[in-house]
Amino acid sequence: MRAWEHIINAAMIGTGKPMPGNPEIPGDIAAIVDVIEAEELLDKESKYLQKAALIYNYRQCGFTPLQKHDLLLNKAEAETRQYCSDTAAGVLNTILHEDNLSLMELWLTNCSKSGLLALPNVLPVILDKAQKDAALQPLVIACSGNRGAWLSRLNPAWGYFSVLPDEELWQTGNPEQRTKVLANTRQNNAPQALEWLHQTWDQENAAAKAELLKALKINSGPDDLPWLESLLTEKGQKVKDEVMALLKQIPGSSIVRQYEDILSRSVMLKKEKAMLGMMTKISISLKLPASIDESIYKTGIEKLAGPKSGISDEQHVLYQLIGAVPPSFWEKQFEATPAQVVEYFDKYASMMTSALGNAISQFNANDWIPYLLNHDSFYPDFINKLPLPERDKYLLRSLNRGIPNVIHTALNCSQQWGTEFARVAMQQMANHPYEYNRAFFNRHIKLIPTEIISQLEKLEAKDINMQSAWGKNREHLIKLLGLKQQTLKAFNA
Amino acid sequence: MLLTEDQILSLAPDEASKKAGRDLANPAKWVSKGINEQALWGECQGSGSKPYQTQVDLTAIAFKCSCPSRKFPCKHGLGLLLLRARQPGLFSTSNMPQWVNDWISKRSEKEEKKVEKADKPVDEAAQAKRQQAREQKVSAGINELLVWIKDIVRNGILSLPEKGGAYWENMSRRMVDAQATGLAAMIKNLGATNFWNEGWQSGFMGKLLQLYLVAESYRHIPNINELLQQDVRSAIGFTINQEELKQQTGTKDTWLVLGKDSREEQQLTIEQNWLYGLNTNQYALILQFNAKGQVSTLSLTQGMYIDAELAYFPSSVPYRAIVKNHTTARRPENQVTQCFKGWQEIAEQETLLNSRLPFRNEMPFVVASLKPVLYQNQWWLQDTDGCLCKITADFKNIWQLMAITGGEPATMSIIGKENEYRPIGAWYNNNYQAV
Repeated sequence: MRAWEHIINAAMIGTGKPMPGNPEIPGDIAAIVDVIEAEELLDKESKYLQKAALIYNYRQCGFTPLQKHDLLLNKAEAETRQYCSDTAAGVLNTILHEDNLSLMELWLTNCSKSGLLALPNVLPVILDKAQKDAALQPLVIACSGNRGAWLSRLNPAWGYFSVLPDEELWQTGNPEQRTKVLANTRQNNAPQALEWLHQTWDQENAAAKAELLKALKINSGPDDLPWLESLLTEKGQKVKDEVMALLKQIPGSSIVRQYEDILSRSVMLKKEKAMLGMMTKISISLKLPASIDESIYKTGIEKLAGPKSGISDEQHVLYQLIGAVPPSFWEKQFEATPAQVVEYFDKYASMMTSALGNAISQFNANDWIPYLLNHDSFYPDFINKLPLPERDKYLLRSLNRGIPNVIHTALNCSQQWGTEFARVAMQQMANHPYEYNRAFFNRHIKLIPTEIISQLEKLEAKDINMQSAWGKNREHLIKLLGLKQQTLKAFNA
Repeated sequence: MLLTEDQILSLAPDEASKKAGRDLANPAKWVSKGINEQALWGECQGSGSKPYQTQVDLTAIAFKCSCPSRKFPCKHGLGLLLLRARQPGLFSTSNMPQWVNDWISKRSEKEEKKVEKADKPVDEAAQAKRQQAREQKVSAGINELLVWIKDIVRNGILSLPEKGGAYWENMSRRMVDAQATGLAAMIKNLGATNFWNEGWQSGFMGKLLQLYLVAESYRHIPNINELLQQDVRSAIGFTINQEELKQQTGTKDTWLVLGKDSREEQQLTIEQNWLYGLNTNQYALILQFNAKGQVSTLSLTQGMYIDAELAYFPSSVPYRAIVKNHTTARRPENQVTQCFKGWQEIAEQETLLNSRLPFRNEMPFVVASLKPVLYQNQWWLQDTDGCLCKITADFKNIWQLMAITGGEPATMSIIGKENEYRPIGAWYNNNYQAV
C-alpha cells in the first residue's frame, strides 16, 4: 500500500527533515487527513503520528488475501495399507521419548512384518531419525507408506526414499551407495556383482577398488577365482591385500593350494604297528619340509612365533597354515571322516585343534562345527552358524566354564538370546554394573528376552558396593524390557 | 476425562519432570491405585519407608502428592496420569480412600470460602483516592511518553538500531514508575524488534503506532465509549478486580483448549491458553501469571475439553477472560459446527475487530478447509477459494502439519493478524491435534 510505504519512508528520514513528496491518501480517509492537516494546534510530529495511525488502521482493515488458482495439486496418495493400532502408536511414542534406536528398530521391524503403517503425526520424527541412522532407512520407508514417500519428495533432507534402480545407482551413485548396492547385489546375484565390478574396474581409483572388493567376500566362490587371480599383479598394496584376503577364503585358489601343498608334506598321520602287530600306534607328525616356498610369508603367514607365544616358530607357521586350508583337505590327507580328523587332531596334535576351528569358520564348513562344540576352545564365529538351541547351549556352557569374552561375543548374535543364557549373563552383568550400564542395555535390548523380567528382581550384585548401581541399571532394563514386551504384544509377535 | 499422553506431558513443569513421569508410568511402581468419577489416586513406592500418596482431581485437573518435591505437578502425579492413559485396564473403579476423600472435600470447602471472602465490604473512599492518585501518575507518564515518541519520529527511526538496550529500558522503567505497566511492556516489545531483519521498519512502526494510539487515547478517554475506555485502561496496565468480574454472568460452553504457550518474564511464568467455545463460537484468552515455584490455579492442556463458565474482561472486542468454574469434559461428537469458511471471512472479521479496537493483539481463529502449500519457496495456507495467507517464519512444525494433513484441506486453528498466521492445531480423523 503506497500510503503506508510513504509513512515508513518518512519515519526513516524523520519529520525534522523535508518529507519526500506527498502520500497517496486513499479516498476513504482523505477527509480525515484533511481535518488533521487543518488542525493548527498540532505540531508536525503529532500530525504525522495521527495520519500514520489512521493509515495503519486503514491498512489493517483493508487487507485482502492473495489469490492463486493455478498452484499444482500436491497431496499424498491414499494409503493402501492400514495404520497400526492406537496401542502400538502409543508404544512408539514412548520409545521415541526414550530416544532408544534399538527399540525403535524393533518396533519398525514388527510394524513392517505386520504390513502396517506408523501414524502420520509421528512421521517427521521417524524420518528425521532415519536421516541420521541409515540402517533404519529401509524400515522407515516400509512403515511410512505413501505419506512418508510424499513427505520425502517435499523435504530434500528425507531424500533417501527415492531409490534408483540398482544398476543406475551402481553407475551414478556416491562411493557409499555403490559399495552398498554392490554388496546387496552380491547377496542376491553374485555373478552379476562380479560382472559389474569387472566392467568398471579400470575406471576405479585404488581406494575405491579396495573398498569395493570387500563386497566380494559375500558369497565368494570358485567362479571368482580367474578374475581375482589376475588382480594379484595390481600396483596398490591395499588392493593387493584385499585380493589376497579374498583368495585365502576360496578353496582351490593358488594361495590355498600353495598352503595345502606345504601341509601335505608337513602334517602326516602315521599309523605304526605296535605290540607285535596287535595294536596300531597312531601319531601326527608336524614338520615343515627342509625347503619351503618363502613367498608364503608375503601372503600373511608370520614366520616367527614371538617370545611369549610358548610355541616354536615351526609350530606357529603350521598353526597358521592349518587354519588357512579348507577342513575337507584333511579328509583326503588323513583318509578319514570329519569326526575322525577332529579326533586325531585332538589326540595327537591338540595344539592344532583350534587352528582347525579357525579353518571351519574361514571356509564356512558348517557341517564340521558339531565335532568341535564340546572342546575347550571357544569359537566366536560359530555362534551365528548354529541353530538357536545349540547356540544358546554353546554360549551357556562356555560362560559357565569361565571362558572370557563370552558375553562380548554373544552381543554379535543375530537373534535374541535364550532365557537361561540371558539369566546367567545378567548375573555377571549385575556384578559389573559400570561396564554393563544403561547405555549398554539401550544398545543391546534386542538381544535380551522379555521372559527374564520376572527373574531380574532376584538378581543382585555380589559386591555390596555395586548393588545400588545395579539396582538403577535393573530398573532401567525392566523399563526397556517392558517397552519391548508392549511392542511385541501390540503386533501380536 | 482421559487425557492423551501429549496432553499430560504438556502439564509438566520441565523436561526432567516429563522424563521422570514417564519412568513412573510403570505398574510395578504403584503399591495401590484407584479411580472414580472425581479422582484418580495411587500410592507410589519412593525412597522413603512409606509410599507417597498421589491424587488427581479429575473434575478440574488438580494435583496433590505427599512427596517433598517443589515441582508442580510432581513426577508422581504425571506418572499416575500417564499410567492411566496407557493402561486404563489397571485401574478399577472404587471408593476413595480416606486421604483422597479428605482432599477432595477440602477443595470443595475452599471454593465455598472464596465466595464468602468476596462478600467483605470495601472502603470505597480510600479506593477512589488511590485511583485518583494513580491516574495522575499515569497522565504524567503518558505526557513524557508522547514527547519520547515524537522525538523518535522527528529524528527518524534509522538510527534506532544503534541505540543500546538502555534506551528502551529507561523509558520502560519510567512507565513502571508511572504505574503504567502495560505501556512499559509495549516499550520493551518495541526494543525487542530484530533490527537485523530486512524490513524491520514496517513491523516497528506498527508497534510504535499502537503505543501512540493507546497513549493518545488515554488523553481523550472521557470522549470515547465505555468499553473502549476499558480497553485503553487495560492496555495501559489498570487491572480489573477479578473477584468482581466473577460476580458477572459468564459465558457457559464446552471449551476446547486450542493451544497453550508459556514464557518466562523476569521472575514470572506467563501462560497463555487459547480457548474456543464449541457452541457459542467464541474465542477466549486465559492468562495465568505464576511466580517461580508457585502453583498454577488452572491446569489446561492443548486439546483438552472443559465445560466452563468464562467471564470476559470488559472490552469492545471481548477476548481475555477468566474461568469462573470448570469441569473437564469428554470429547463431544460434533466438535466444530461453525467456523470461518476461508480467508475472505477472516479478513472481514479482522476488519470488524480492528474497527472496534485499532490496537488489538493477534487472535486465534478456527478455519475450515485450509491446506499448507509451498509457493515461491514459502509456506502458505490456502482455502477452498484459492486464497493464500503466509505461515509465519517462526513456525517450526510445518512437517508435522504436512504429515497430519497429507496436503488435504483440514479444519485448523490459527493465530495471527492480517496476512500472516501460525497454525496451532488441526483436526485429524475428527481429533484435535496441537502442532
